[in-house]
Amino acid sequence: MELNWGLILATVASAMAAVVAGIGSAVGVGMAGQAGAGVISEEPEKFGSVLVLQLLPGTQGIYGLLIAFVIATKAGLLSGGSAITFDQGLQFVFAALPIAFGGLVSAIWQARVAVSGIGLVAKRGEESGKAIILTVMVETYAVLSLLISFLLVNGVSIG
Amino acid sequence: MIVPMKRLTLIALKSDEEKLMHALQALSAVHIIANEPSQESAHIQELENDVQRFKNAFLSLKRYAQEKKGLAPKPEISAEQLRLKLDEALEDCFEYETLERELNAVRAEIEKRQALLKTLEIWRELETNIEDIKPTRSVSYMTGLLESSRIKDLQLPEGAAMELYGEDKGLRAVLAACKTSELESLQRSLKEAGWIDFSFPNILGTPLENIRRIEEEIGQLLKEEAGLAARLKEYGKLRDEFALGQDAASVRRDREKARTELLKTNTAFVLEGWIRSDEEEKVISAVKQVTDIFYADMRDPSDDEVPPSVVENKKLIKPYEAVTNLYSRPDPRGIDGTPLMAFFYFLFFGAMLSDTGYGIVLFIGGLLYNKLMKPSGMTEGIVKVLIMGGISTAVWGVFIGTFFGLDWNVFLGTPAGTFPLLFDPMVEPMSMLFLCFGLGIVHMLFGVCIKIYMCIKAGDWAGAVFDNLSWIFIVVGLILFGLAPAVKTLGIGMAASGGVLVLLFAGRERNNILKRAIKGAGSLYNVTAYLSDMLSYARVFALGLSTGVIGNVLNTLGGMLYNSFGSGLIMQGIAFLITAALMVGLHLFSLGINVLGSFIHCARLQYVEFYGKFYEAGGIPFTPLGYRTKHVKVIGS
Repeated sequence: MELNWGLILATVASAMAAVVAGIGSAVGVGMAGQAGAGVISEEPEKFGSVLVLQLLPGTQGIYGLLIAFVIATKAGLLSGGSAITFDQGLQFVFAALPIAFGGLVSAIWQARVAVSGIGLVAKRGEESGKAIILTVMVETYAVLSLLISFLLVNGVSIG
Repeated sequence: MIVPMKRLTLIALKSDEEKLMHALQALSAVHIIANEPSQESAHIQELENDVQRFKNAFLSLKRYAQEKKGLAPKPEISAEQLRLKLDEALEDCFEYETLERELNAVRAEIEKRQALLKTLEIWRELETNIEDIKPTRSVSYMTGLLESSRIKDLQLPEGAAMELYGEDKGLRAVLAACKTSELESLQRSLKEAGWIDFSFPNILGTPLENIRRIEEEIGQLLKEEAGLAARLKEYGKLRDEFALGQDAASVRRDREKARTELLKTNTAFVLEGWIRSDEEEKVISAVKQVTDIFYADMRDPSDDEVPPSVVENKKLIKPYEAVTNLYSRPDPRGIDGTPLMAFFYFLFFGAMLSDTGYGIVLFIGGLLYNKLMKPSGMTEGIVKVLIMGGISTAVWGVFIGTFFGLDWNVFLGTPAGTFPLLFDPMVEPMSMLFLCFGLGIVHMLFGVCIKIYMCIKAGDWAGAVFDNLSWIFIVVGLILFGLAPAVKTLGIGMAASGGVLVLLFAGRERNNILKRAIKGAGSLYNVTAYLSDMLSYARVFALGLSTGVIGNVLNTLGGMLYNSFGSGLIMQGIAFLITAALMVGLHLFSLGINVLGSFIHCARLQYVEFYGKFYEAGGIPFTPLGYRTKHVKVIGS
């Protein structure tokens, strides 16, 4: 039986975007959540700002999902698959790289800032806005990765 | 706009001090400067304790009585009422604390007994009085625990015997006895088998008698606990009183703390502080109502004094102050960035969210929240920014976006290509990217223009032309160069003249021509900063993408779910209900996460790319002595 390498590669690309970026977010949200629980045990009223900080490293996973979905739609993976050549499949794989790894690494580093930010909120609750902004600075690179991944996926010509 | 401040010096009689401070607190217009280093006196500490006491009581009450939560604004109360209710609230709070302490003591007693019960349980069948298990002249006893699996291999020395009792977690309770002379060898063999010594607590009677007694005691204590908990639950209706007490206590603490910071003689005191220049009259008349014997002086700040910064803006702009304050208040001698930034914030926020459905939900949700909760301060600002953002989002959605993640043409049934009105970023990503960069350049150059204005106002013509105008030339020139062949020459000319200006004059404070050129060339390298700033606006597209595609993903999932149910009216009905409920929840989640992202990323564009060009940060907040309350709103009496 002949394998449809194009379709397989497109599936790999889609899965990779979701999984690798998702791992980053899972680790990140987990780290921030642990730090947050400590603060909430002392001061439950800070739940709101801590929750926002915990959520921030979670966006990379969503960006990953987004690219995964765009690839899946474009390659017709959700409806049985369209004719994808080997080259196109490989293009999808490389197009998924930015958000996969940009997302993975930025989520974890963003979580580190979020953890420190949660420490800041514990000491000075009124400065939570600044903690959020410091954390979002890291996300810039996830956003840029998302953009490039999208443009590259968009640029694969099918049909 | 930054409000000019005046430095107030007020001297009055000490006998009027208390009344005056009450009046000033009600006025909430004087930012007091500590003349005396604030002393952490026992008095202030006591007042602070009261605040904490209420706070703890308020929080711990949740454990005993459920809180009824609903959306409601803070209740209003007059300052007079607030003051009068403090003593009563304090008394209730003391009673509550005493009860809670009792309850905790009872719980500790119960726990202690339960632990004891657990250790005695395995000895239940030992029918000897505990106090009788002690060595006699010829016989020694040992009590302890042994792993049950190792008991059958145990070799007891001659003349020793042991009795087995209950088992807990694989450990068997063992009473061993032997002749005193054999004690050492018994100990040795038991130790080899993993013996753990057990000594009874200091009690009399058999274990069973004790178990019965303790169980009875626990029963008594549990009754007591339930009684106390029920009484504590009664305090649920005092929740509001505790909340009020917390505010009353913190108002009192603030005032008393301010009083310790005043400079005093035997008969008079001196109050120094900052007031808004448009509130001079208000302050003086408030003082006059208390006393006629006073001296007040109000002057402009001197050069070495930094007053707190207060800004005043029109109603539509005011909410955006919250965004600026998240970054930093303006330097009081600088310029207020809020009115300059507000429109761009509005614009970029909508472009980032860019979904008409989400925009409408955000707008209506924000209005409702504002109506029901009547938030104040920072929250009020953010809520209003989001309400306006909702409008912007709804409009942008029509031009470049979607409707709840649905393609407009699918939603409206219009022929493909009709909507969105401008272009579909999913189809023409490069157009969208260029739109973002274009808006970004306008935004950045506007910032540079403000800097030019500030330089000219300060008389720094050289700074205006060489450090700022030159850059407008370079950026605009480069854009013209790239835009169309017709204006290519004009563009290159502009960029070159800007470049020459920077090269020659960026290092104008140096006299050595060589050093000057090197400094100029270094400054020219700044062109990369403009480039990276411009690229940063790509986030507008990326965030819009994330809203649209996530919405789309959710809709596709909803469609799959809906279709997975069979046909037939009932199945269709169930499918519709389940899918609709799920869709509402998921879209709300998507809205939440995207609003958060748009709010913060949009703020970042203002802080880094826009404020970076001109804004002077570092103002201290204006915190007049007033009613800083958490649970209630104090209204004028």
